[in-house]
Amino acid sequence: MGKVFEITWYGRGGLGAKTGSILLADAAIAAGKFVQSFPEYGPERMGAPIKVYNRLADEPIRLHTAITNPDFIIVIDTALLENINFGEELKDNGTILINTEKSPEEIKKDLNLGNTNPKIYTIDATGISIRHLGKNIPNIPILSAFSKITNKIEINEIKKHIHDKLIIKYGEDIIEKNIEALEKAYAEVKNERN
Amino acid sequence: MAAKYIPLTGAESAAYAMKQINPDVLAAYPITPQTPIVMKFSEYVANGEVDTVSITVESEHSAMSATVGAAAAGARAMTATAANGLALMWEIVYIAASTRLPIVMGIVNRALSGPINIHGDHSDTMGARDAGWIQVYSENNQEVYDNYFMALRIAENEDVLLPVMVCQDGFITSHSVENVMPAPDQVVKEFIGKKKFKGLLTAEKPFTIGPLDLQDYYFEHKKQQHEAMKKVFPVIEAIQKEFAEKFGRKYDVIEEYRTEDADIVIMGMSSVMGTVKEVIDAAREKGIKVGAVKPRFFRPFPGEYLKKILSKFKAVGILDRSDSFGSLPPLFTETAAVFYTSSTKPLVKSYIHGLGGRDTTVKLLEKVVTDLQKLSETGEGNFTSEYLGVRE
Repeated sequence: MGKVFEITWYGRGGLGAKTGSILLADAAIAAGKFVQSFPEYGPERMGAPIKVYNRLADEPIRLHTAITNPDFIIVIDTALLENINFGEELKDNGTILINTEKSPEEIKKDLNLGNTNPKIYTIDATGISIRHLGKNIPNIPILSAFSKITNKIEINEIKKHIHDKLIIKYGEDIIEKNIEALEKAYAEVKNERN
Repeated sequence: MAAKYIPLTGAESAAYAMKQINPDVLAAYPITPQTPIVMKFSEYVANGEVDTVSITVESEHSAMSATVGAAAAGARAMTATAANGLALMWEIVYIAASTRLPIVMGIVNRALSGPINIHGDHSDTMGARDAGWIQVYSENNQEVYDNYFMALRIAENEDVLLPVMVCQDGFITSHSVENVMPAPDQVVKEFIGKKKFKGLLTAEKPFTIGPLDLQDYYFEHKKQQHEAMKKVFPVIEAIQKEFAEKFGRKYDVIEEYRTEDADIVIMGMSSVMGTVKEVIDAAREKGIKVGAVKPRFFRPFPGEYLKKILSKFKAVGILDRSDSFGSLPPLFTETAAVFYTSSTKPLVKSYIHGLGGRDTTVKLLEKVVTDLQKLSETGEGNFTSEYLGVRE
């Protein structure tokens, strides 16, 4: 099997980590990739910390294990940061994306990085979500930022799948607002150099 | 339209297959991690995408009872359950098989209580191994989808007429999105065909089924169930062949992976075998001659197949995702028994793994490879069992 790109999402029940992970999988499959999207289930409920995983590859994925050494870590709630050992968990040359108003430089001191020096990006996904949707569902801006950072998935592919996935449940208006949030996030994602 | 991959969880794969089968009756009660199968299927019912009569019942005991009743009346009847749900329908599970009803039941394998655990292991269906059902186990979501169609054909075959459990691992596949390539409805329709089994109960000739059967005939009826099981593998082989022609995916009773020149092999069932294949590829890179053997069926037990395949190897590590307290685990015990009269047999080691959904990691499976290399060289540890990754 070729290289598998592994992602771990740290979120809380209700913030859309699972939906975000599934949207990523849907969009990636439509783009001809092989994927997995699976949550780590505990006694799940609104507000409880959850972990969700994605694998992306160009060939069929056979692994059926949890991801313990991801290429990419997404943190949706900064209150979870102190419990994540990025230094141990993240692959060498890995990447971190955090939902925060802070810049990567500012947030860096809150991260357990050990001796590692990963690439750090931030996006105010909650702010964007509240401004555009009127509530805190930061998964779409997060996906947008992920798309820009990694080039693993085209932003247009995500747009299409937001539409297909959410149209029945939420209607055209909410979709439009999500698309706005997506575009906003694409423009606003910050790395350490800007 | 060219076939293409769509994203489906294992549970959705099961529901999608059931939609295409379009059974006459579905009677089910929700239980984690089976719930999303019934949820999704109920959506198909509500949207009018199937003609199925969906019977909501108050327990799994009633779910299986209604399924048995419907099947006996000649309906294509299905249900799905997991763990404690299977335990609650236990009594009727045996009756379905002894009444020779071609029911297909989706099982999302989950640990039995107690303590309560909702995650994947095989303790539920391994407990039901003597219930008289055929059991097929699925490695990934594509296999889940494909197995439903083959299961239906096997169950309804006139020489067989036995119920089939289509098993997949709770959460590991049931709640994981993977690439699945569904077949067009027409292909499924042609493959499954019209049901030939007309049921046992007819208005023209009223009679009772499953009444009292004491010392005079019960024994003979039990032997008939065994005789029916003996006819299953030739039927499976023919159906797998036809499936490959129609769907373009080839299945064998036992899947062998990189075994041509292997000295040692890891054997197991369901989702763990995907991880095993990755571990084998990595070990092969280091020059270790290791392969994998995956029995797809546990009932009937493919003993003759395994005897032929496994006798080629020096050592075999057998992964069981269930335990048999006070004995050795089921896949290991039944495999070892096959070699009792053989002069050529491999060294064997048993591994109990993944109980209650404990992750069977690459690292743990790498240890199995190292163990088996040692076993094949020294013979030490032959016919012993260990708990893989348990904390002491």
